[in-house]
Amino acid sequence: MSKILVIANREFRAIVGTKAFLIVITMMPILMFGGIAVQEMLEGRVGPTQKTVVVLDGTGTLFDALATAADQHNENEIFDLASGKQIKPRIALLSGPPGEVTQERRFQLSEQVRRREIDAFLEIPAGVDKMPADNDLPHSVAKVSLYAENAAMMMDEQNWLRNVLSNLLRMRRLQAANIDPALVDRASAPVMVEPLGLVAQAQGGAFSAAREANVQESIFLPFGLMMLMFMTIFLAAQPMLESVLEEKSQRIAEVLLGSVNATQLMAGKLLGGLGGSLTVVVTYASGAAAVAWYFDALHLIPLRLVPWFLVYQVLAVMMFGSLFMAVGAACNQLKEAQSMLMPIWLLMAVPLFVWLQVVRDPTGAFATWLSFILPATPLLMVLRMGASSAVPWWQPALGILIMLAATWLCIFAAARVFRIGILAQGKTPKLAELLRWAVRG
Amino acid sequence: MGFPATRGHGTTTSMNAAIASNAVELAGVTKRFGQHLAVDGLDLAVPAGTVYGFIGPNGSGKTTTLRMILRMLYPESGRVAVLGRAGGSVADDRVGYLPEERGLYKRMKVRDLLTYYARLKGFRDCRRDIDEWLERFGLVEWADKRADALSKGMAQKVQFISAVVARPKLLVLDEPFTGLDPVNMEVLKDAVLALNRNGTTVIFSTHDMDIAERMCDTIFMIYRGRKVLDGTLAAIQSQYGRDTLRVRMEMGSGLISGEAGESAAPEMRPDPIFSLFSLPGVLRVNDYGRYTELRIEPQADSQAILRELLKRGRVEHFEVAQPSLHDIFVRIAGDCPNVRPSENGTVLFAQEDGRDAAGGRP
Repeated sequence: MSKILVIANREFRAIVGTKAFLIVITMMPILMFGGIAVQEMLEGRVGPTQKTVVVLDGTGTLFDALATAADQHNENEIFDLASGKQIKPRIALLSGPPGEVTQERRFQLSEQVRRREIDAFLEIPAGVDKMPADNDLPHSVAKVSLYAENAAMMMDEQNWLRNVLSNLLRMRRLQAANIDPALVDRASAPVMVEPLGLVAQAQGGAFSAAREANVQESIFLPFGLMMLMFMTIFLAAQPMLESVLEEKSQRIAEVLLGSVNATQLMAGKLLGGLGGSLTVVVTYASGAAAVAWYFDALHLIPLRLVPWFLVYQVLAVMMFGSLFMAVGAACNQLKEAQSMLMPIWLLMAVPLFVWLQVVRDPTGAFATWLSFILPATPLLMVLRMGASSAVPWWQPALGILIMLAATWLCIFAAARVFRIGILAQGKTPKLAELLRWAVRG
Repeated sequence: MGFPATRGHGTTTSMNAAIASNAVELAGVTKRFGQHLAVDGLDLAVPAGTVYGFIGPNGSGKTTTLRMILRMLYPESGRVAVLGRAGGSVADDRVGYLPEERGLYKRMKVRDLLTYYARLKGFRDCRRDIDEWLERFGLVEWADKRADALSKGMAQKVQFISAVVARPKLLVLDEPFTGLDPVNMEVLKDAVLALNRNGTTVIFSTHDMDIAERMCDTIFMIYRGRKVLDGTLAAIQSQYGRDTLRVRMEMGSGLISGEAGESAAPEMRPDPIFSLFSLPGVLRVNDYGRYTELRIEPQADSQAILRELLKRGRVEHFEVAQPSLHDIFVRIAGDCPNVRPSENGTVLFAQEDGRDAAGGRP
């Protein structure tokens, strides 16, 4: 055992004591969450400060009201309330020449857009403000057309135009029907559904009020847990693979095998890798706790999940680490090993493709069954538990039993491959030969 | 500076008298890799306290045998006892090993590396020993440098230290001198011999017959997985008798007999070495440039050969000698399709006339 610990100690230092580890451990969250954060930060801070739209008003009566609404929008809705900085582009409306809208006119305006003289033009057909006939309902939609180089991406402008024009037309139609628009507004007051968490009871018996739920919390917490699990596996298994490859290609393995047997060597490496992965978890968990404390959001940290997470993490690192080391021992170069590990990576990536579906319905049949299928179990189980506290306890417990069996099997088979492969030189064995090594030893 | 003595071993062993006198014993050991028979029924006894040389051509089973001694490989049949222990899945902590292919963790510092290897051998209080070895090899200032900063020679010395730092009782060296310059080779050789004087049994494999002749108390040769030589150099050489003549003729005095040699145009003259085959009883001729070595039949008359040579020219040197280890090695393993091991391990050579002759009797 002491020799295993000596090896584990060296492996642990080799993993966490490198600049590469520090870089990766820093870069991973930046790459994963940085994109979202940057999008948030840049929202309204980049892009044009004004969008100029030419309006071809076929009704001949809507432009002035639209222009007034645009002025109000430019005064009240495009600035950040706290900083006073402009965060959305102004909308400048220009009245187009009156007359019939022909393809030639549309072309001329399109040319203006292409020359960057204007950003878009809006075509409001005549009669759009008329009340739809009874038999047109409920599918009657008054349609206006917005022409631009990339009109689909002018979502803010589309939304603004839809809201303003809908209100204007509704007012006019109601007035034409002698109905008080204010009365209709009151009668049409919408119902709002407030998303809340669950009521809890403290030890003293007092009930705590349910907290307001928000989308970010519901999505990012389970996603963060799943990605933390993914990173701990990646940051432990990949160095194990590279370490074995180095020892094999540099002929270090033979020196080591003069002192320990292959099983001890592999066990030491697994323990060292596990230590490295726990370091990752502690580092990120500490960072997350510090951020949560700073934003007064310590209640968001799911302490109930910590034991489950750690058990799954240990088993996952042992399972994937042993497989990675077996492949490393069988191959001569990193490229060969990566090719051989591609199927495992693809299977590992399955939770990344389905996570949103799982978060939406963490106790549904799809999420439940998928979380029992290896190698997705560790990632999906923490994802489900992070998304809902209603996951029955026996499901993660059963997942652990499945993982225990699979981990034992993987270590057993990997040890056989490792023992043969680590001293083998020459051609890299095919998958069938690896399986033969694993089965027959 | 003295060498650290070998460490004791805490566990009791069931050594019998025979094993106690032998550091390593192999009995009927066979090892296959798939269809390939790497080692075939090998018997071997390495006396404790000796320097034991393993020789043999590439692929003959040397490294496989060493790996079985180190418990890296397990024999399919037979018994391997090392320092009195016949079982185990890992090399004994009293065994030090320097493999043929050197390997150091490039990013580790030299002292950390040596400490790591010593601790893997269960030797925790190793700092003083490491310092002594580094000082002996002139590597003190490299102790805190990374291994990838070392030259090849320095790396090889560090690798050697890693094999001996835990004070082994048995030291297994696979090609320890390969790639070393003469100065470093001397340093390493002296270290090996000093360890041996302090009681360490040394097994080393080598392709350098000169080193083997000079350093080894006993030499073992394996060929195609079977033992073909085993004994002291003198004993091995005595098996071959004094069947070797070393001859140097005066330049220009030609070894060629007959008119054809002297009157023909230079490009038409027969090869002078080839012409030596015409001497009575000569089986093989080997030209070393400065002298020529002739292997003669056991019953051949060396004086008759000398007389014949004198007829052909002026003889500067004539010596009746035992074959060198190099010559014996080449006789056994040379690129000769006629060489084949016999059933009892003796190597047979097909002579030029097609008859078999005993090449070695282990």
